[in-house]
Amino acid sequence: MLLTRWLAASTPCLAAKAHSEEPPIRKKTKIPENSGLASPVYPFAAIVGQEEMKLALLLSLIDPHIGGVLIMGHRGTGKSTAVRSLAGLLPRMAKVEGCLYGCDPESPAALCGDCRSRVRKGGAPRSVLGAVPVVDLPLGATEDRVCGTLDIERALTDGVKAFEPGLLARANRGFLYIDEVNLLDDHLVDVLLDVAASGWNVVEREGVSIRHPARFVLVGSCNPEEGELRPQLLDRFGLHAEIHTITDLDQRVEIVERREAFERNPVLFCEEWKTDQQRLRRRLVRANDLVQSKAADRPLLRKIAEVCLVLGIDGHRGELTIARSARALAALDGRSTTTESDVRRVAAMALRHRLRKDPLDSIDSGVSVERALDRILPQAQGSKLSRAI
Amino acid sequence: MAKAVPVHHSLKTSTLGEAAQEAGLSPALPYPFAAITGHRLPKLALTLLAVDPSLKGLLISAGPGVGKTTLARSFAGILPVQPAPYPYVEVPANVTEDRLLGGLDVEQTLASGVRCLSPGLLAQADGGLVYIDGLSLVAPAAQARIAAALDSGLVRIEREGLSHIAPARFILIATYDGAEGEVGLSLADRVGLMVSATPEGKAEDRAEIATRVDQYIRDPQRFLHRYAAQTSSIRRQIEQGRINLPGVEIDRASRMQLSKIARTLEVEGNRADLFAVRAAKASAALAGRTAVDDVDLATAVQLVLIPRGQASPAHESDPRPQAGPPEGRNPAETAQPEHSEKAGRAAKRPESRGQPDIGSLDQPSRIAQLVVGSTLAALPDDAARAKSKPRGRVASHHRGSRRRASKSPATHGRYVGSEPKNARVTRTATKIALDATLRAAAPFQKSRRAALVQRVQEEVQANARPGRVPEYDPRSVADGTVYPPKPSNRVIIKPCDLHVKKLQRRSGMLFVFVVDASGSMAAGRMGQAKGAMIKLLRKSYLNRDSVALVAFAGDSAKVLLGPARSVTLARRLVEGMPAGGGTPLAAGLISAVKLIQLARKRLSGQAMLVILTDGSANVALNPASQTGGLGRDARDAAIRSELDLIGRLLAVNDIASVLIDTGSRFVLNSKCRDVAAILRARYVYLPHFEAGSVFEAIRQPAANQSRDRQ
Repeated sequence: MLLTRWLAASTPCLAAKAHSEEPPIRKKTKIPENSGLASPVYPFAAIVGQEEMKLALLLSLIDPHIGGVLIMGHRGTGKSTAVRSLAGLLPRMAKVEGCLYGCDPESPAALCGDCRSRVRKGGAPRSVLGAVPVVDLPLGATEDRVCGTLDIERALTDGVKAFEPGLLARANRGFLYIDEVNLLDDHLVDVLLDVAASGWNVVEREGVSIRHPARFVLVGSCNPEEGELRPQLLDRFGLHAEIHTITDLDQRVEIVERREAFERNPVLFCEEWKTDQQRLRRRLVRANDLVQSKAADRPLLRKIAEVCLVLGIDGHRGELTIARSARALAALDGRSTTTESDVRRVAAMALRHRLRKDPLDSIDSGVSVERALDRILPQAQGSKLSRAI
Repeated sequence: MAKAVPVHHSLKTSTLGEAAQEAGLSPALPYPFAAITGHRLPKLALTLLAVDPSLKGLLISAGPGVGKTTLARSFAGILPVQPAPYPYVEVPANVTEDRLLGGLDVEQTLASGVRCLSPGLLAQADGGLVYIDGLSLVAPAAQARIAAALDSGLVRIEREGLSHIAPARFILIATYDGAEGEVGLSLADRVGLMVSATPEGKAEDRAEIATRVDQYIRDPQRFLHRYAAQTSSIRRQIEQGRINLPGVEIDRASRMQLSKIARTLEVEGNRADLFAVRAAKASAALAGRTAVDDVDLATAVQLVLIPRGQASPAHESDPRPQAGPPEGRNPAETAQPEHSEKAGRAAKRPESRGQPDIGSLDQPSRIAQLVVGSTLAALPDDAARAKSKPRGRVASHHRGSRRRASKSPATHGRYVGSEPKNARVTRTATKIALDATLRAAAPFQKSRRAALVQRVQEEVQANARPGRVPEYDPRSVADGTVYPPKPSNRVIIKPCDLHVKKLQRRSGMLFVFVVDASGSMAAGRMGQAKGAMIKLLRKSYLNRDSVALVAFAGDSAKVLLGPARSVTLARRLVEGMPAGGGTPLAAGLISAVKLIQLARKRLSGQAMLVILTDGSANVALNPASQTGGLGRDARDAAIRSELDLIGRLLAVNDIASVLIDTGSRFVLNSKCRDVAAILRARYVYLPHFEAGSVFEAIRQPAANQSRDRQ
């Protein structure tokens, strides 16, 4: 009989990739990572093809405010592999020591109740470096584990009404990954929509009344032929990456060969890809700094808004997503100014799923976006995504 | 060959021995692999799987009584003895999620006050075999969990207050009958090998099978002994294969060839390539080769790629239109997936164009005969009385299901939450939500224990008999006084703490569109009907209903889409639907009814037939009335009586129906009204299909009906 303890199982087993070679971005003390069932994760840099998906994921690493990524497409095309490999690219971040939700010591507005009261009592919270969580939300999860609930063991042994955080708490300031998000139960989708919109998880159940920050980047993957995605949830995702079965024979063979090599000796394989991974990680760190430096200029924003108008996009999420992701793309390329070609490269991903007025229309692969772009941003010759990574 | 073992619809997991006993076989002595005749491909697949377990599993599809279960069970016998014993776990088709993944261990948790996990079946099977009979009957949600576990080798539990990750690396061997439903696409994709087993064709082979099975049943011990040498030689071969496997090389050209075939067959995703390479290597290793040759490639194509081509594993029930036959010149041409005819299965690909060839001529008619027979058999004696019964009031226990008794909806479904147990819910059968109960009781434990200790002391004092401590009596739970021998760590639960599970079943209507795709529909009306259907699909999407699609044309009907919520897929199918040939309305209705009966095994809720036709049914189910020199009138009379029968069948099965007349306005068509009257379906005629209103018309009474029932 296995005893489950919150701590033993709580460490996301995927975030186990070593970051030791990573230059610390903020000089803080490190805590040893309890890595649970750690096994090497397939390196992101070794993923063949699927440039759009990779670009979308990288952009949301650079700027979490883009609003997450929905990867839609055929099964068996590396969706889960890509998302799981994200953990290996993420830099460590500062967390409040001992906080259940991994609060950011530098943003007082988003502190949880515990941290706030600690601050009020005096003294800055001690900060430690920890991994950015990449949390898997399995399909069979029940609501109490997603939202959190009464800590039954403490209640039984100490008679204390303590809160046991759920997956949303674990995912705070990190990534929440839902594979086959279209198969997620409706009541869980409701919970997710609620929390994703507010950034706070409000728990009122079993005598527990608590509110804690739950800001996460939602990453979902699905195959539309296995079931529909609720339109509200679809709209929640910032970028919509399409993924197809690779038809190029060389690439296909490459995929199989790399996968075989990885399975034969994961450690060796990761070692071989170490330099590439490090290069990518350095690029991301630089991009992280750049993205905070400068906003897109007004004329460009006007043009982005125009594109959305021409396409008849409801709401403003379209423009916002384009502007943010274009800036993130510029930063990924090491530039501090956003150009029209950046906009061109992200527009389809940001707008595609918002064009659909009718649930039955198949999601446009970007032709109409392309056309609108040609009208409004004529000079740029559609730079291809293949350059991205 | 041994009869297929029935699926156990009990919560208890059957062990190999019990299952075998039930099938009349000797426990723990499965029919030996070596004694199985025929089944070249399935046997090959099993040996490859034994050589390379990273192929993840095998799906065997076959009709009943073909021996798929025997094949699957024999597998354990050929596995190398070395790292034995392998865990062997059987998953029943009605498995619940908590048994599959693991859940709260009631006894342990109550005894210790600490949450204990009872490991699920998948975790128990770590390092061994998972065997599922009737995989297509497993709930879609459970299939998705199995797929996730196969993929990652882990089981993630986030339920009932438990958070746990357990390793679950297993080989999945599953059998299913395509006539009983489909296997989820994502699960099928994650299993390496797929084959369809066919019954032996030749009489002497069949006789040989019968002889062997007879010998086996009479004296399993001796039978096994006779094949012991063969079995161990197969096992040795597999052991040698495992040793050879790491040394097998596959050159780039062969890899390219496999990928190319995968591309040609329009295999979705790139996972298949990896499985194909593994299968080819395993085949070479088994044969003792160090390099993969053409034979190995052919094997890989047969077992991995062809079943995944657009015709997918459930090629018979595959909803998607065939993307043309796989291109000839590949080495596996001989291994086209066979379409083993299933008795009593009405759906057959509509031969919309041209003459059906001679070979297939007698097939549909035989099936049609069986269908008429089974329709008659399905009708209870008092079917005639059902005629006048208002539809929608037939209680749910009327729908018979061979596999399991119908269950009250309140006791089944997904565990979505809990509520305090009160007098109202006490009467109905409910499930105690242990986690919630414990949580409710937890905060009071300290005070209750203190009170209890005090009470015990008082009692001891009152009795003035020192040394006598009241015994623990479970019955006293009811009155709220528990006398534990050690009051320190036992959880004290009072009736007011009890919580029951709130269960949710997938609800929503199941709409089955029965679409006339005959020649008379071709003249522009098909386009109209398609437009209407797409509008209806949109509406049903918004209502979270499920949709199924049956088309009939030529002399048969075909299920284009099983109950699904994917309107994307439904739309694609509707748009690609051809039209032409006769109007076998009855065949279409029968497949729809069968589909609904099947769907009700998995989902609850109302079903509704939406029939789109111009009413000119001209193909009878019974071929005798079709060909045998009978006049037009006689044929029409036969059709009418068939439809009448189906109308009763609908009433008995509690299926509401609507007939949408697609006939043109100018031809005053009373046929449709007639048909609707015979079927006791509601008749709707809307010239240009103002689909929104059609939908309202369809849904409204359905909604009323379901309200009436409550």
